[in-house]
Amino acid sequence: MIYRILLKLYPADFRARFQGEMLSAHEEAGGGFSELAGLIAGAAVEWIAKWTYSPAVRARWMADWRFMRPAGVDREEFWGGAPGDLIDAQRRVDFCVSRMMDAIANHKFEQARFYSNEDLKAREILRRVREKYACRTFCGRDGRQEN
Amino acid sequence: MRHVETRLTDSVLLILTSLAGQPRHGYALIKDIETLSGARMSTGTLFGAIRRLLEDRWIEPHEQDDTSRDKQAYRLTAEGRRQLESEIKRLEQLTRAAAHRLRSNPA
Repeated sequence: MIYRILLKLYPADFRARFQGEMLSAHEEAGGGFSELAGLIAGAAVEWIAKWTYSPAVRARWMADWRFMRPAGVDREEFWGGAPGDLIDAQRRVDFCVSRMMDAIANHKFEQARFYSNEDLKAREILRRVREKYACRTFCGRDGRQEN
Repeated sequence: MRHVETRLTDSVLLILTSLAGQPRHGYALIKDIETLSGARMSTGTLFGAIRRLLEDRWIEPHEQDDTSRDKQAYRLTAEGRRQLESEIKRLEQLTRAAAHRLRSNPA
């Protein structure tokens, strides 16, 4: 009972992936105070990892320094020569995908459906912009390529 | 995926060592690690480490017909095996150096 309550301290996506396995292992292995202390410490570690690692969460609370353009550097140069509207279209797709995954992880399926529809619209806009520049691929600052 | 050669934490080393023998699920890992190290690893520590190892692709889920979703087994990947071998070499060097110093400077 206490174990189930403490499991709720973990991030939703972690629980979605591991809750069943953790409960099963705990039921078989048992454990006392150290088990519960380990669970609380594990939850703290998972939240720190999530805040510092997951782009979806980091974008909500912290500025993403990778996207901060230094003074005196123009937009096209900063983004590797890609046209501004192509960058915007790609970023809109990335944003929708990120929000959709976050919503699914938190079991907010209505919100996930909304961002899924937004993603379709964003991809259509991206397709048109790519046609405008006659480019078949977009290479972001992180070297990622999409066909 | 981490590419930098870093010292493995005790929990990661124990999990990789346990999985080097055969694929195991959560409870089997806890029991095997208890046998290996004499200490019990909490489920919080175990599954936190499993999450990181899956992200780094050092381990992967192992499908077994006779297990439920709540008893997902894991196995080492080629990268995980390479990391474990690298850590074992590092520990062997450290052990040799420690033994050499003890022999050359007896109390």
